[in-house]
Amino acid sequence: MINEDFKIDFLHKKILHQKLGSGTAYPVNELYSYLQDTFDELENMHRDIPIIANSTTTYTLINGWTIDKKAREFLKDGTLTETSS
Amino acid sequence: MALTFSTGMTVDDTAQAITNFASFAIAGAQDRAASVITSHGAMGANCIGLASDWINLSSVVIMYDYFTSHASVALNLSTVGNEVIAIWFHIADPGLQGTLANGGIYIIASSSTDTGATVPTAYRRWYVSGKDVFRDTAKGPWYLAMIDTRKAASVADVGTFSLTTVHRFGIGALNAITESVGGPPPENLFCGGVMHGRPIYQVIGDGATTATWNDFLTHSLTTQQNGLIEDHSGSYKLSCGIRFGSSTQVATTTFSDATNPTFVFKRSTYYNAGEVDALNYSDYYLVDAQGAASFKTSVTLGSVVGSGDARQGVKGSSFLTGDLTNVPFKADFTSANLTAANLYGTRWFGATGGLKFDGSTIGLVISDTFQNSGEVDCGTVGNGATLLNCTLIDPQGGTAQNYGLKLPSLHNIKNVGFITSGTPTTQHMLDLSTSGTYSVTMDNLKFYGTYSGTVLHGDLSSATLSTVTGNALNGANPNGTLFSKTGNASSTITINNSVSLTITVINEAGAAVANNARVAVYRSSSIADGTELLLAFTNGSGVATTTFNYSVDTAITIRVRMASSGTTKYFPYQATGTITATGFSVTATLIKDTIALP
Repeated sequence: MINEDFKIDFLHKKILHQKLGSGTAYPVNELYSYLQDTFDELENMHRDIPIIANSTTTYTLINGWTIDKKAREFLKDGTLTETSS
Repeated sequence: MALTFSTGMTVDDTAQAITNFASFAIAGAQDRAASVITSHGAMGANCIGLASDWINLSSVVIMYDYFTSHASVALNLSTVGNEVIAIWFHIADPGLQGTLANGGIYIIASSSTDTGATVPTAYRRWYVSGKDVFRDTAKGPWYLAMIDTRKAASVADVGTFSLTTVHRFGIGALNAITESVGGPPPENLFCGGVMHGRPIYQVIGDGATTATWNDFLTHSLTTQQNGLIEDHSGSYKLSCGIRFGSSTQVATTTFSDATNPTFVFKRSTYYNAGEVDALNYSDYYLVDAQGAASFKTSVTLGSVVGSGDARQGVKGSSFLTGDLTNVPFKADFTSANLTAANLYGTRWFGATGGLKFDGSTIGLVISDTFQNSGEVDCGTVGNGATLLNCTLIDPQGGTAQNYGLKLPSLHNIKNVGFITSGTPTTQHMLDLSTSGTYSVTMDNLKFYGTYSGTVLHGDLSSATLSTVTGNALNGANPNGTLFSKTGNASSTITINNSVSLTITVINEAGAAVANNARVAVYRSSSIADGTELLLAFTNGSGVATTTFNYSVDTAITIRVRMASSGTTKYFPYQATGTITATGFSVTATLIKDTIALP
């Protein structure tokens, strides 16, 4: 499950991979869907959205969010870029 | 029966005949004694004219002998109601006269028992004009000089003058140059009539006739030619107050007029170590109404359009000060013997003496503008006069607080705009003078301009502790932090101004996104701290709503998100807006997210 393998560091606005994760690689689209689902919870409404979809395979981290280099190794089927904005 | 008028001024003589007039020189010489000048009058066909000699510094006087004309009874100018002397004069060649400071033209009153050409031994002078001051006139060359004899003299009295036993009064002129031409000089000082009293122009009804402004104008300009109302090409200068009805009338008085004239309360000056005011304006510059218990008075200025709270007044006349700094006036419609005091669309400028109304059933003040005026007090009878759709601008006068509108706990006041330009630098739009613990409705009371320091929404002026709750309604925007407590520093005011904050969520097809959309509203300045103004799911109609206690316009950020598994997912929505005194409402259209996994 992606929510068990990936970790969201709200304080530092960073996407991390759990050290003891399952080792499964997930489509970037699944990460996108997971993040949107997480950020629509009432307790997260005050937080800026971390990701936008440019197409079904290209995504961008926004609002200062970044992804850990290790976590990238567990993503597939798409590209994920970062911006400073 | 007909309308009758009282001006408050007794016309002592219209100067049509030489009887009771005489002349003399208190310095230099007169060339010829005063005589009747025909076909040149102010209050009639004739006047009294005097020729000064060509000698420099001749100071000549045309004197009216009150004592002789009143069966040897002296005039007591100290009696209340007698204080003001008014004299029509004309100076043929003002350039020959002395300056104001030198007494170019002066009003003179004497209390010595002399008569005729004898120079009085006890007299007082008030310098009212000179070649260096402009005296505008609306009656050819004539000018009505006025002095309230309570004012200090311009120069030391001659002899022991007494205001209580005046025998004569008149007009004098000081010739300031020596002419070299030969031949007798022409008359150059003219007196067109003399009056004394307290100038309040009053119309008294006959029980049948409706009085109008034209009746006032005709009486002053034509019938009596008293100069108290001057026609300056369509606007009217007042040297008097205006009163509708009388407390002793024996028939009802009805005044109604929607011709919308402009009246300007005129400044009159004289010399006293500088050019200063000649009148005690606060005693007679007023607009008021009186009635008798059995014969009441009805006053309607302007007319009203619309109905209910949408009523607007129009054409209710303008009353303006001629000098905001020096000329106060006031209005009072609180007499118990009024059947109506309808002031529709009346403009008041410089009524620094304040304005008083009363009675919910008789007092209707609609669409009036009060600019640089003293406190508007609607009274308490029936919770006070109705004040509707009015505007107060830069309140000024009364007390140092410069109150705009008294707001008692119970009232009939709504839809009032308060505008400040910042001048004067102390302003209190509302005066909450009631003490104790109470609530007061602030129905569409809106404040415009910049409020800070001593320019404030209001003041709690009662010395007794006040605990006030202001309930703002219908777009009112009072701010409790903008009220001072000059009466009692421990008094408090809390403003309840609950406005709606409503977010309606629809999809691209226009259908409500019901139940599951997450809606949040934050102050834009503090989103990150997570303190929301609204945080909820949409209801079955796609609406999320709450209330907000408004005090100032507040910038907000609106977020709507719906991306949970198992439901239709939408892209996040974010927008900004401003909560105003009327609240905030927006429709958020969500766009379906076809990229996210189901």
